Amino acid sequence: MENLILELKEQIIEVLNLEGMTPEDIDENAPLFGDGLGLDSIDALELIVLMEKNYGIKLDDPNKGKVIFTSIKTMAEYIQENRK
Amino acid sequence: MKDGVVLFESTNKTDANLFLKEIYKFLELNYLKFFKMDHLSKLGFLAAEFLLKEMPKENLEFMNIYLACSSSSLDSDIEYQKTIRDKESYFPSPSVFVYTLPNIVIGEIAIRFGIHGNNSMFIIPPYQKDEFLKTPNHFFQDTTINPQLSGYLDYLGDHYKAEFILKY
Repeated sequence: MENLILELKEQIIEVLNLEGMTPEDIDENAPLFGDGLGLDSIDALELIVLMEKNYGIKLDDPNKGKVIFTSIKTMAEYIQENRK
Repeated sequence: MKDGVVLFESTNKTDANLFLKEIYKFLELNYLKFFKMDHLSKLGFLAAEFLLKEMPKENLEFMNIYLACSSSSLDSDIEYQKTIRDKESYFPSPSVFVYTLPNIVIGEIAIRFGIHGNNSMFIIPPYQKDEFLKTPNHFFQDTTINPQLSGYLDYLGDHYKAEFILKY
């Protein structure tokens, strides 16, 4: 799980252009939206694309997104259980 | 260059994106959204920053912005096309797609400075740049006496140009 969390952090920094950030700067339990990383709605769409492109997970129910994208950790847990 | 005075000169002559990053650092900005913008928006955002950063807030609120470009959003259109050209790996990028309109640069400037005035983006041939920059306000059906930011900018590949004029 730790490897997956690190991998996710690296991918998110690259895909979302989080300039100057390193994986160590990101707390896996911090909220992705709002106070934590301060991501916006376009970033959320990029995260959905990232999950499908890199892990073969298609998010059919948008309502699930709120729970899955709570933090890096919740995202990693969902990927672990559903990756193809 | 501002009012004929060179403010910043880069040693890098080839990488336009690196040049924009250097200006960001030179201006000592702390605006993370900058790194999410496309090249055209970064270029316009920085050009506006040089002119507007010291302007009082009350002069900014109702400022009108009239910009023109020649290549439109072609630079971002090409980037977006890269995400959809392979049928086996078809993942359209939402964050690139939002910049596939040239007027987004005006939105980025308006958000940065809290500007709520009129605005328009024109697509013109490069040779009409000087004529556009001399265009009087009434051409834009603008009868206000609000401050005005007008300018020409263009970005395609490693070719870029921005020339902004502030009237107030």
